[in-house]
Amino acid sequence: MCLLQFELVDKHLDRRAVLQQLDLSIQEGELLVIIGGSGAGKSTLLRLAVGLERVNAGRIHLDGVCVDSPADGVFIPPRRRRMGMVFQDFALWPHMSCLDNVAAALPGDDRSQAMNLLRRLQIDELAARRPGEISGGQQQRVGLARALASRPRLLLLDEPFSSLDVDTTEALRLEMLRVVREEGITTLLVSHDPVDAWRLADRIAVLEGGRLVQCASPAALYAQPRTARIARFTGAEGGLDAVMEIRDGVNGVRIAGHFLPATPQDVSNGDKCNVYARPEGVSINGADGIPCELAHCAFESGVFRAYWSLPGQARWLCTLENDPPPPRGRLYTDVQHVFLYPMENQT
Amino acid sequence: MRRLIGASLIVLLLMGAAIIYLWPRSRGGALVLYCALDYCADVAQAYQHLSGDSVEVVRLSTGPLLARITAEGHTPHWEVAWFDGPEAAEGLAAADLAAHGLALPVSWNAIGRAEQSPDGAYIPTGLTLAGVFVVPQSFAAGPPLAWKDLLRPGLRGRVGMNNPAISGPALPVLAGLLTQGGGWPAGQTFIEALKRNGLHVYAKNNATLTALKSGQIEIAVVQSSAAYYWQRHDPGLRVILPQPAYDLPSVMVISAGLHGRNLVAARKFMQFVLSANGNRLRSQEGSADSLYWPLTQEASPNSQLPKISQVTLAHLNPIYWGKLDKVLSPWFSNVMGLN
Amino acid sequence: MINYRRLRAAPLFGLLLFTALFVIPVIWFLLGAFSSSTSSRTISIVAVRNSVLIGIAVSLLSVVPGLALGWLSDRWVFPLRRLITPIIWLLFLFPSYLLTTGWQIVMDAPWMRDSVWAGYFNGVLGIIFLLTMKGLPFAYFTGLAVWRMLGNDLFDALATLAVPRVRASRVIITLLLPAAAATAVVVFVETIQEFGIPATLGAAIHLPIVTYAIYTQLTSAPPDFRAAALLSLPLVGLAVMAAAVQALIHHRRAVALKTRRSKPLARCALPQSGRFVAALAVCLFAIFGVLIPLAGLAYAAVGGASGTAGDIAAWSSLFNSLCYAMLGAALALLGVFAIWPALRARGTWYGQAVDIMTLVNMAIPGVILGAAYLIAFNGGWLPLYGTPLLLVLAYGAAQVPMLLRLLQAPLSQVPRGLHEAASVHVANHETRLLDVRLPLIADPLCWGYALAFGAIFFELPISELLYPPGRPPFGVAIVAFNQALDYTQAARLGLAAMGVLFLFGAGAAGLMHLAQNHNRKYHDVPVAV
Repeated sequence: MCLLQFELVDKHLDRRAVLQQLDLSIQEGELLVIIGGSGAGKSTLLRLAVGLERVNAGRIHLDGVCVDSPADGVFIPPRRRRMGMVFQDFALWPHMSCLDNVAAALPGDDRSQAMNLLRRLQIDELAARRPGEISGGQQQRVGLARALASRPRLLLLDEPFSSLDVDTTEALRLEMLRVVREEGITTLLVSHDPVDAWRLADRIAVLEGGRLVQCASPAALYAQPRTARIARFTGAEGGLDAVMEIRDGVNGVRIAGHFLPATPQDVSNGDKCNVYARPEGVSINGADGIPCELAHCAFESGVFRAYWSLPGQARWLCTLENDPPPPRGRLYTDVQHVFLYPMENQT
Repeated sequence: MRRLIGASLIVLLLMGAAIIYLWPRSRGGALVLYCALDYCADVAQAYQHLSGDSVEVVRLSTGPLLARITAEGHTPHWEVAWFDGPEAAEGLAAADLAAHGLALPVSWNAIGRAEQSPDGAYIPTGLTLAGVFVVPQSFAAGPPLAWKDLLRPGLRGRVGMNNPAISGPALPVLAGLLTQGGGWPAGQTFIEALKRNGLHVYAKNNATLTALKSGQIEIAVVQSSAAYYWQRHDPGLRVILPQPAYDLPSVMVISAGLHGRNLVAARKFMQFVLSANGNRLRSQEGSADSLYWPLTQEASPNSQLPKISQVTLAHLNPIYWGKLDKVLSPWFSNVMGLN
Repeated sequence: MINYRRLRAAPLFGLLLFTALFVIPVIWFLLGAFSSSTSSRTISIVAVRNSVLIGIAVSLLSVVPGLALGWLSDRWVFPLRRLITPIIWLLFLFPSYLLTTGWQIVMDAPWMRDSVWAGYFNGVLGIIFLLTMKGLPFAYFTGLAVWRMLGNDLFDALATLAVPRVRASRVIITLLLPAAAATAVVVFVETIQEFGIPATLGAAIHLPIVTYAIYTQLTSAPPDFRAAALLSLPLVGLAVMAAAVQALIHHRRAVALKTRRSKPLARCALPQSGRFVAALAVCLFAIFGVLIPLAGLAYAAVGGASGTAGDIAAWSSLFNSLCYAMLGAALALLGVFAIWPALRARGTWYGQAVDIMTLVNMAIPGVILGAAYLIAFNGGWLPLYGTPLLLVLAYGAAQVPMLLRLLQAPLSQVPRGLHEAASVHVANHETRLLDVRLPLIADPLCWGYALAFGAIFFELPISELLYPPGRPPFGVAIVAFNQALDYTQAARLGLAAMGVLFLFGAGAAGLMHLAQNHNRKYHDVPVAV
């Protein structure tokens, strides 16, 4: 069942279009991760969902009820939407103890129930302390407890791990996942970190320039990234300049005289395009393939990440090697990991 | 954080108390008296005690009192005003801020009859002299006896008087000086001559007489009541009555448009002021304003004052000078550079 | 369901309120200058000329000492250094009319009365001296900010590169010039708008100064509104011009300092010879700034100066002012809340209108606002003149612009997320307001209230023009005693007021401390089964 639905939503801020014609549904019980670059509209989408901003056009439905529609003159304020939100900068009230922070979100300031929540997140010993006296990770747990206090229909998390270090993020990510799965809470998480999407999402929604460009499961997104940015999100690198060809019914590009099969996305035969390839789909062998020279190599978490320069190309392709790579080689690719996109300014 | 709310409640309670304190008291028949005389509070209290009617006294010096009455215009907050200077009273009546046709059944003495308002703009309540000379006992040269003596070169920079724009009693002094010079506008040359001879101007009586005591000036031209008061408290000073001395009665006016119960209450209060009881209270109160010559037959003159028959008294036409009220003070301020 | 219209109306309401309570009365008053009524008094430009010349002299005289004191306080270690800031604050908070009264008492003492110093003091030099003293705090605070922005690295660079001393001085002076110019302009505006010194010493020596001249036009018999308005126009014009000049200097020349990021400064010990000179300078500053006038007040309070024994009625002015200040400060805060939505809506026309109006408002001195209210509310449809309500309204209106500027930063600095978290998570309206939102802004609000309270308590020009008969405020009573040369009463009342305010402030600070000091002990909370 659809819990939250954005229906052709437009949102402007300071005369700039932040979201355009957004159509997105979130199913009950699912964990949707929204990713995108800076200024893509991720946080705005979240704020619209919770009611901290109002749409300029379109509608938002929550559990079948319209909660925001300028055309119909409808707006339900945040406190009546029964949602919980975890903020990027924690947003814990500094003058209240952790226990009071959570209790304030409970009807009747129920401190015993608040204590139970803290206990569930294993931070009950922090009850009497104030936010300024605890670490970032601890604050975010308190924030999560507060967000869960009102038994929300929808849990929203706005880059909840961005202020935390790697270890704390890792622990909190798992903790959060455990809690939302146990409670079965529908969750909307905004992040710029791909790891959050891969490890948490039931579906991933990608925003670019205020538009929803793809919304799919992680596997589907990985298999068919619809834009160059999404391809990069899945680990693809490159951006080589080429022209698409079809040879023997196979789509691909010709680089340095060699034909590279590839999966085109909105590119037709003869179009100029950019080539992106995931390292796991690029290999070096001595005999066949595009001649290349080693441009740079770095040892990374047990493998060698090698960057290869190709003839006539300003950009490099990347491989992952178990052993130190040779200075030269011949590069070949797996079509499942090579994608073609319309040529654009590459950022 | 509820403690902060508690603290705020305390503050709110204090504010509530402040509002109650400042709230304009319910008039409920209370007569509002704007008064520039020292004994008003005592008189009002006695009147309240005797009659049971309440009087709210607002004490201001004459200049600001008249300015406030003018500023309030036709929405006055007062019923009766009591101050020195019939000229100002006539000015208020001419501006329709004070009532005409006032008359009270009082047994006036000869001076009282002479001080009556030609058109009933005020009721006179006592007589002082607009300007007398106060000098130290040790005054070296011959003290001035007439107004023109103030122009003597030997008195250059040694004479001080009050500012008629602020000190009401000083306006008749100014009128008298102008009369000395030939009236208005001829008398302007006399004032200008006084200025060239270094005349000092002070805000009020106290400031003028303090300047005298400190030696800044040697001749203070002030109202007789202030002069005799200071002489009483400082044997080093003496009062000289100029010839002639101009009359300065204290007067009461009522606000224009007063009627019904308020008018009755105002008249009743005025009657009390002029009664033997009222006069006795006023003359025994002990302030400078107590030193006046009474205008009714029942009242006895203050023993500290010379007999009025010893005074060469000159009368200023209050209607004539009252019409010039709006012109005289500003002109004087301009000439003396007080703006 | 939210009513869009009501929400959008909030900023407009703030704009309307500000227009009604400030803009309309002031414009109506100033337009009176062009009315057809004849003015009975000659409008002497002497008052305007005096004010301008004195303003220029004071601004030039206070800039260098103020910057020097800031330099000494910020850069060097020497005996008595820590005294500078408290003395500056004392001087800043000391009401000008009380400061003047203290000096007048000293100059009126028998051993000083006939001295050459008394002669200098009872003239334009005395006025300039007192105004310079009052201008020093502004110069000091600005100087302090500038020295802090300059930072140590600049001086280190000059030393490392062995820049000749003369050239190095030129570099420093060039950097300081914008701040010095801006300071001079601020001091000039404060000086020409000053009322307390002209009302006391100025009146005593008959030196026409424009603020007191405006007041005199309205409180002499007969009051001359047109003359007052005519005198007000150059005063407002000068202040607006000065504000524009300051904005221009700030915009064009201060970028160099604004954009610098500098390490915090470490103070150095002054050399031996410098230590003595600096300590002496601080001593003299303390003596002439506050100690002499305080000593004068104390001397008069024990009966050493001219004056009368006592007037109980005048002491009610202390209580009156406490009440006025309590209510006026509260009204000012309410005004801030009403206008705040408009000020936050900067992108809109009404937001910009309110922003400009509050800036221009700071160019309107109290005497003009008082005059405007006197004329606007003395008859016709809203005859409030002579009532405590009008006085409190005027007090509140006068403090709103200052409070808006003061509270803008601290209120804006409360992270938006804290309010949003309350909107999302706290359904109970009472909890949201009392437990979450209010405490977040309690501190700046309390400070704002305290500042407005103090400013209103000691306020003079509005008090003089609008006080209800029979309920004079403190400043009016002091000036009345001063003009009657009753220094004994003035001193006693003044010192008593300082004592009362000190107790009040201490009590309020204690109350705040108690209220915010949460019990940090962990309470056993029963676990729900």
